Amino acid sequence: MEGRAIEPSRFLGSPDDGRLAGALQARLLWLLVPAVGLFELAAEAWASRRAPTLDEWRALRTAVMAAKRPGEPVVVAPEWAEPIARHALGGGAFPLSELARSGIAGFSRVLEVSALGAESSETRGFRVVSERESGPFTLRVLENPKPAVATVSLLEHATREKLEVAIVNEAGEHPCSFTDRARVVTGGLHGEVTFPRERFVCGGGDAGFVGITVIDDQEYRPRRCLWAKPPREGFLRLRFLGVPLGRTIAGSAGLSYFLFRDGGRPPIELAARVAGESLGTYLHRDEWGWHAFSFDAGRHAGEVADLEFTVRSEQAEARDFCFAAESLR
Amino acid sequence: MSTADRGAEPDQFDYRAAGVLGLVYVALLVATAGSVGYARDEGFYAYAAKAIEAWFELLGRDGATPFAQAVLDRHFGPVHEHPGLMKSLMALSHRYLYEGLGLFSEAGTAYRFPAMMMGGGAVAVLYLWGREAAGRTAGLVAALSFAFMPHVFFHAHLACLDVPAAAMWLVTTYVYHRSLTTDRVGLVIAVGVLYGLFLDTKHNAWLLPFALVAHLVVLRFFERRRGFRRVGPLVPRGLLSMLLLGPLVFFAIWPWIWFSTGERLAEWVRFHLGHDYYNMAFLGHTYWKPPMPRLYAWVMTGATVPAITLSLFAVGAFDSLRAARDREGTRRLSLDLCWALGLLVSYAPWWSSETPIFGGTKHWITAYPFLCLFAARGFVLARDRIVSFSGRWARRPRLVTAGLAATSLAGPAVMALGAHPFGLSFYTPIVGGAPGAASLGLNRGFWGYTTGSLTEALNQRAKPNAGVYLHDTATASWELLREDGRVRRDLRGTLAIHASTLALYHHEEHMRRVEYQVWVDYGTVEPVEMRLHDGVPIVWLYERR
Repeated sequence: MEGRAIEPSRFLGSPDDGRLAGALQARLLWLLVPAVGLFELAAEAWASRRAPTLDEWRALRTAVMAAKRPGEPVVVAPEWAEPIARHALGGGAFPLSELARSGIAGFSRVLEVSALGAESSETRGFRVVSERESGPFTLRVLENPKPAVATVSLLEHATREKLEVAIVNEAGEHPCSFTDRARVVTGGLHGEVTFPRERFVCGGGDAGFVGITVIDDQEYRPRRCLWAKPPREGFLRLRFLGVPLGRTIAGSAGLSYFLFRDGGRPPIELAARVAGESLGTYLHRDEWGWHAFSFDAGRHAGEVADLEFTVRSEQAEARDFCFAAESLR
Repeated sequence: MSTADRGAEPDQFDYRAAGVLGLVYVALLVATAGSVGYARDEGFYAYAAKAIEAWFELLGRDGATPFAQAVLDRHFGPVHEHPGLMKSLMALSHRYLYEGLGLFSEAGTAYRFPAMMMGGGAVAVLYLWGREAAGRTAGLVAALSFAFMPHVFFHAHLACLDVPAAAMWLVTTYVYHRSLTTDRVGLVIAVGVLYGLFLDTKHNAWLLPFALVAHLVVLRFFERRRGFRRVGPLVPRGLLSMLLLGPLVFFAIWPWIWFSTGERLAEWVRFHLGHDYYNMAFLGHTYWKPPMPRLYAWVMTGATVPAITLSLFAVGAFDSLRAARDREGTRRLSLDLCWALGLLVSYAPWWSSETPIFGGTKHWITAYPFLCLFAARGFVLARDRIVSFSGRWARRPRLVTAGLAATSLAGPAVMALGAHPFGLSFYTPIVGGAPGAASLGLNRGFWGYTTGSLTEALNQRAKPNAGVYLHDTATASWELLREDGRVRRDLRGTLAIHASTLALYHHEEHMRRVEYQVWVDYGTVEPVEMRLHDGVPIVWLYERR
């Protein structure tokens, strides 16, 4: 045995003997070892039960669906709990256009479902309109103090009736025909994003089309966008018909970040025109991920006109460009 | 304090106790294996083992034919980036214990069994070494602290090479250290044979000589400087045995290198020194190319090894430093150095920001047995100090010992069993458990093994002959699930979402794009089934609308 046994009662009442009291305190520190074990055991019991259960999430469904309004996305905090919310609350609370939104700026209000006291970083700066507890959750209606009001979303405008697509090269103009029965193709982890059933078919392989799909951004979040791969020769032209124009054409563009994050390939050029007049050109680099662009359309604000985008790149291979845009007031 | 509570040479009781501990651990692993789905690498190893099993069937039937290069290449070529020992043991286990004796209800368990035995062996040796160094209860603390490290407990279930590598490093070091102070030829030969088997287990074996040579150099330095009597010959026979016998054993039991030896060894080395970088999430960022975060190994150790084990380790390491300073003699110094270098060299590759981190904690799992041996020392020091605190406790040392052992082991056991079968998703309360780790952006799992928790749902939901998108589950791992009857045999695993009606998704940050593909193809964002670990989503299932 190292050291001798010390009876605390022998010296606790002897304030003069500071050394012994110090020794006692030092020895008390050894009790920290079993205390760590016991504390950790208790902490494990807490940690393993602190997050809401699936049943608690399911019980939230009625409250969320009552509070959810069309066009106002449900935002879940912490973000990692969002798949549970989709499973438990149902897909109805998460339309794809809201879930894979281009950004939050265009929404005037959101419904935040908060667990574990978390708050969404995406809605930082939003004003709390209402807040109520529901089981282990907090439901907050948040208002965007400066919403970017859109006159039109070009993704919603990308229909057979309102969009014309063509490849333009030296040989002339080659229209891309619309189909709602294309063969859906998915690439899996290391392959292309989903090539949707509804698309304008431009030829040159499965990827030669214009249609709505979802890509992953630089944080691997979903972004719903219009696939617009530049052709081998010439450029891809998208003409949105009868667009009510605001002051700005604002949007974001990217390629699947997972596939193209290394960069190193030629940039992709996106140019916008109204009535033959150039609004500007945006040059996109792969490694940027989902990246914002904007064109000044102030001179045409209030007009209803055809808005044309052209997409081109020095290289056609692996230029899986996708963009979303809105006309803002 | 009884002699059982002091370090001493193991006796018959200890050897029996070590055996029982190891076997009980193996029994626990076998009993709980059915709920762990098959990890990617398990599928590959089982595939390789099947090829080797077919080679065993040729033996004695076709004369020398099995030893022709073309035949050896056909049977030992699959998954030749790793040597042959574990794959061969898996093959033998499947052939004799599953098909022969019917010992297991699932073929997959037969493939897993050799690695489980290795885990059990490590537990037994930890008891013996801990007992030798610090007493029986300390040995028990070392053994069970390792057994119930939640990530170790998970890996110990798998037909993989990581726990076997940890076991072989430990056993080889243990026998080497014993051989330092003995003339027993058997032990010296055993060191060489064990090192050959270690080389044949996994390439972690390349690091062991660095640890042992460093141990020798530092030990000799201190002996000379402090005027201590030298332990054993200047260059230990065990080290020579490792260097001479090890490669021979390695060569003998890996038939893939029997031909074109130099070229194939070079290929083996090149593969591991130039390994691809796979994705790994750490603190909210997915790393896929250098520089990798230098803090990765340390933070992940702190976030996944129970705090009580780390605390005991810290106390034990402190005690060893004190002993080194107090010149307690070369025996203690040699032992502590051996453990410290085993631990540090195991972590050493992750001091470089060029080293891949995709495998998480399993990369440095060979350090954990030594961490637990220091924890055993810490246990003894804490126990002695607490016993000496009061006369009442000094009269009941066994009670204090039992109480401290219980508080040291209860937490790890609860955590390891509580995390089952989602062991890779386990994080300690220090980071807030699994929810805290998810908020911190730590990896939630990999290898696609969590399909095992959705087999019932798949069987219920799938239409006859349905295609199931497997996502991160390797096709070979899916085939094991089918072979075991865990999923219906008519279900077809596919890697094409568009060819499926049910789609699995195993969450990893960089894999989220797969889920988006499902959304667009299936026309729904709503998973129909989901499995959570402590409230955190791990794996889910989509059904085509």
